[in-house]
Amino acid sequence: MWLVLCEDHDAAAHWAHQGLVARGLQAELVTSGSLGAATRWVHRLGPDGGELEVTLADGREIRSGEVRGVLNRLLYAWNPQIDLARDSDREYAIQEIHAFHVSWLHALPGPMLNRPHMQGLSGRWRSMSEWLALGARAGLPTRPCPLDADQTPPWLASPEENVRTVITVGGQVLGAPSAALVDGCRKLAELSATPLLGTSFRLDPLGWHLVGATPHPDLRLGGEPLLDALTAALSRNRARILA
Amino acid sequence: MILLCGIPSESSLRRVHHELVRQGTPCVTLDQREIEHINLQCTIVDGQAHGTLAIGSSSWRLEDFGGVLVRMMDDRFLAEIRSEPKDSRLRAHSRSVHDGLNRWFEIASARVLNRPGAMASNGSRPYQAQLVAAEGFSFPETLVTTDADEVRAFRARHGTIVYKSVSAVRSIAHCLEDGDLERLEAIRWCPVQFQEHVAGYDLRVHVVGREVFATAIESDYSDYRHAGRDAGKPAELSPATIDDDLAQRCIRLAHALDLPFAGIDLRITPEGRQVCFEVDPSPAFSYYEGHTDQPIAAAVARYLQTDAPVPFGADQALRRWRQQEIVSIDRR
Repeated sequence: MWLVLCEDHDAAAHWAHQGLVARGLQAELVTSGSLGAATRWVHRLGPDGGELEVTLADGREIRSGEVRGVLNRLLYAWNPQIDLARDSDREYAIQEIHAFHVSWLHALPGPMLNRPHMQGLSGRWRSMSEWLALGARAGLPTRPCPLDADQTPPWLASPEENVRTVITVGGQVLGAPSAALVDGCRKLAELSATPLLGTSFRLDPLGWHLVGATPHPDLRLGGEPLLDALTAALSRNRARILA
Repeated sequence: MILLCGIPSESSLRRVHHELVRQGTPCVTLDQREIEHINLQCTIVDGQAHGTLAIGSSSWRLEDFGGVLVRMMDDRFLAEIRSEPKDSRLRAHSRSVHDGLNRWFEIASARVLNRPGAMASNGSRPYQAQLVAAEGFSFPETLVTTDADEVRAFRARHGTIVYKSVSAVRSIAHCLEDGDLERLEAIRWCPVQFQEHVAGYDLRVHVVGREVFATAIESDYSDYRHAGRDAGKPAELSPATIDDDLAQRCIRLAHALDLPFAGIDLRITPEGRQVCFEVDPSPAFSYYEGHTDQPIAAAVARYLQTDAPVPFGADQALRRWRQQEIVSIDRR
């Protein structure tokens, strides 16, 4: 069984799920809403590793021993009981649920795109300035960027113009506007420990330059080639991809 | 020049400041409580941070800080902020400066103890335990569940078990007593973490770069940090000698987690099993140093002044990623 974990409204994940099934993967779509309404959670950690048993409200059971790979696009650790908590307990409950989700996700076996981080259930979220700093280290061209998120760099004045999104899937780079960017995109995915990574580039008179990255790209931009790459990455009988 | 960030009266920060002054090292203290008078300007150019930090009428180039000690509290709870209206100018300014500082800490070419992203692993104890296990350390057998029957079975197997938070919030361990069983069904609302009780003596190992300070702790209470308050008998601390193998493993563990400054909580069983409970990314080492005179603050001050270039955490992530590619085994 492969899992596609996503938010209920994630159309790109639903699209990817259909594509994986069409390519022969026995993929189960599980949304954060169904996880939040689960009736039973058992997460064990011991000398033999981690295990998970989840019983969803619709009767489906997820057992980690049956999982062969995961497309992880969860954004929120949701629990309907949180809203019922007292004000003094609510933030504590949010922290607990989030911490729990990071742990059981990390314990799932097989390839996972992407593994959780405390700063992002489906890969670590970074500020634009941090992505640009990492991107420069990966050898990608960048332009000066203010650290302050409230300041918009001049090259973002027209964010939609001449912007191209590249998606890296398990080392395969799709949609690069220039061959010169391919190695840099691959290395940025490695440096950020984000094997499924969307990187955005903008064209100016000096050429293509990095304007941002996300562990949560719109997969549909990659079309059928992306589905092929996704299938290959999730089917590999190899080491877990570390987050 | 060294930058110390936090509350100056906080004992661990204060000790490092004292060491730097004693060693004649220029240092700047960023007092969070003076947030109204702090401004940060920074631009990322070709991957490097360039800018200035202004505190009152003084300012410094960010590039001039070779080392940064981060011991900041959540700015929402600063005395100067917590009673401010939600939309106050001061609250917004505080958030902006603290966000900027955390972004700069993440990418600065200085030695930062510790970078925020690396510190975050401590926010989920069972998650961190898996990272710890990947470095060869044992950890208590753990169950996180909403199923009361699973807890009863876990307790039947292990005898004494403890429960504690999954996150770093309200993280106090309690033994599950017979009287607690009456309310066990309440866990169906939110998963709760249970662990086998591990008997033995506590050993706190502080790692500072490649220096190691081991402290033995004697206490009858399940969580020695609260023994004085909850059990009326404070823990007793003393310097401990550990063998080279354990010292090297602790150093490797700290660095694998991108935490060149870490407090590793171990419990050594009568059989010699070394069980790791937690890697503290912002250890309040003054408690241990105060009881044992172990020169941890001096080691921190030394580390912050080391000249060798330290790229920010990405290289560590890359090395771990590649290592996992080569050596991990699919457990199926």
